[in-house]
Amino acid sequence: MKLAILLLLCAAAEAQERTVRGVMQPRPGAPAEDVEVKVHAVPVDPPSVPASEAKLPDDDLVLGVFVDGKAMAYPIRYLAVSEVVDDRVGTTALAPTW
Amino acid sequence: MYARSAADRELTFDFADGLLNNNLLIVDRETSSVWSQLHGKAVIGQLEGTPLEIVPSVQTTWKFWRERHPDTRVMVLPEAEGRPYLYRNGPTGTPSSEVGPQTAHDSTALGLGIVLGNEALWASFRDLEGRDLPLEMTLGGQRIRIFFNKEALTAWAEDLEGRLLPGVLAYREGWFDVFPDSRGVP
Repeated sequence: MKLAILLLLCAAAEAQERTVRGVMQPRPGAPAEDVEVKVHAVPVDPPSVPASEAKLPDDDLVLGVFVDGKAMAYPIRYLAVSEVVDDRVGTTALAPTW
Repeated sequence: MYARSAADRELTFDFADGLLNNNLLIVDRETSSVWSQLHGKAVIGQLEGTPLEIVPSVQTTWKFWRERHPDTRVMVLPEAEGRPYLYRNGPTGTPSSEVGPQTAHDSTALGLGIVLGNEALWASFRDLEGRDLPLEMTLGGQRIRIFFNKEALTAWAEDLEGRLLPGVLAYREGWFDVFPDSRGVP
């Protein structure tokens, strides 16, 4: 499915927040719309602690990954705010999203 | 969960307001290309059409993950409490339009979405409950096993050698907007 999307990326502002403007078809069959969306900076290389030091409730949801022999958990409570973070586990650069 | 590299370069993603097919958009800082979060593909910009490599991951409770991986580390953002997202095993009676940051969501409306080869699957939690698990089936020409743990609010898929396969927990509507030809579990 190829969406007919045209977008003209406009000049970025600050790294913390910038604006993308253009024309976007938000869903199949829908008319193209002029859109202006804000792009929000998210945490890069966020800090982490061992499980023994975590203060998460047992029923908190996490997104877990096991890569390069290392396990890492990303609490959804944080991903729900930033939607994505930029991390590295071992030598693998990761983008956990939610 | 994606590997942050494409076209032989490392990327740094931010998130953008706005939706494409009811799915979130992310934007890389290096080329300002816009990516569909669920589709894992650039839809606009210099890298349009480029897919991201999926890194298999599991969404589950902290308790379940910690017990399976005692040596795990966990991301903390000390400056923010975050937005607690809770699920309950049953309808909450709360319309989605009124869901607040502390509201429990209905986990039974979730399913496990997987794409293998040219086939997509959305395995509803409701369909997995009560089945003999793991559920073995063929998807994209590959034999897979689907696991489900109601208490841990999770489902995942492995190949027959026990390797975790790329999958995501998603609501039906969001998944089928992107993969409308998905099948269900047999």
